[in-house]
Amino acid sequence: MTEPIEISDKVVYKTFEDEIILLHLDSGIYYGLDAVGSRFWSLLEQERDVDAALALMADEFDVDRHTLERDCRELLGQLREKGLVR
Amino acid sequence: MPDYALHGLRVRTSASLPGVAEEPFSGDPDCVIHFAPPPPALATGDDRWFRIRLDEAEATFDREGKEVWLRGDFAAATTHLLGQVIGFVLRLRGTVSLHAACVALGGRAVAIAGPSSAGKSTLAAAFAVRGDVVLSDNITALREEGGTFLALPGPYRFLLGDDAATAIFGDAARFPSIITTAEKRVIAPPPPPRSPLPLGAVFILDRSAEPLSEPVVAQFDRKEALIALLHNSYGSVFFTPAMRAADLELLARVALSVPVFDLLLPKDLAALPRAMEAISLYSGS
Repeated sequence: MTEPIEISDKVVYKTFEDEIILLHLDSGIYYGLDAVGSRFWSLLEQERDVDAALALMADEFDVDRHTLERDCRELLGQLREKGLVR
Repeated sequence: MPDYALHGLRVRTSASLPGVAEEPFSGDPDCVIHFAPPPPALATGDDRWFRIRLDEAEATFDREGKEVWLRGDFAAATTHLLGQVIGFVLRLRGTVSLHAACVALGGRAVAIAGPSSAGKSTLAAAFAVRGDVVLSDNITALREEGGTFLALPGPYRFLLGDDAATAIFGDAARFPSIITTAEKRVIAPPPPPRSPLPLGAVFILDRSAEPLSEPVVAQFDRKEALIALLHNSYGSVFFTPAMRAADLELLARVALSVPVFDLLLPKDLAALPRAMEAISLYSGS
């Protein structure tokens, strides 16, 4: 199963000290992602698919898959809500 | 036409700016300001020109920040010129600026940033009265040079509310007033000699939800510092996506090169000397 996802063209972002700073151009609001969120963002950008990104996260981070997926989906919900991904 | 040195730019204007000392220069100006409607040939929708609507005025800029036409009420237009308009000219010319006062301490520039009415001018004026050289009271323009950032001197004047003007200068009523975001007194003493100085530290002014008797200072980590700098990037509300992206790159380099502090300021003006001490102490000067 796949779940396509795209970073909004209204977003400018930059990797800074290994973490990602996002700017939503319409709202002018800046967001900072933590290290795990930053990695998830990079994988979303690379894979353009939520399930593929989650599978790679599970390979990289030695944590319970259920917890990882729950946390990533929570972040994804926030990213969608703020119009940073679609 | 009078000449001015504003934030490192040689600016020629079609009319004198009240309360700003003229600084004649030889050669061509970096930017010419016309207090006049733009020539009709500057059609709207042409991407060589930017047009910004301001309260009681409108500014039209060429894309390189070399020429500006300001139409509307003259008092409003001059206020905007020394604020959003010069900020946008700086941005068009590739210079980032912070919504910040700036004072020279120990040979370095210390920027004191924050939104309107946060206390920037009040602190700047208090430093000036103490004998420190103030580079700017509202906009700190930063020129990147050889891996460091130079803070550039702005107009030498202080815009203060009546309470602050009275607390620092004894009597607010003897100074002319203008309306910006609020009614402010314009205090324009003769400027001391000033030159660009390397940026040494940035303080972001903040008000505590709880009443405070003492100022509280905490250093931001670098990521927090970058976000705080971005939020205090001057005039960014008018920026194009490309300008905002450029700011993100530039301010990231600022956040890596100087410490950025959160400064919680007590409301009480009696705490000003302690806030100044804290700024001197944490900026290492």
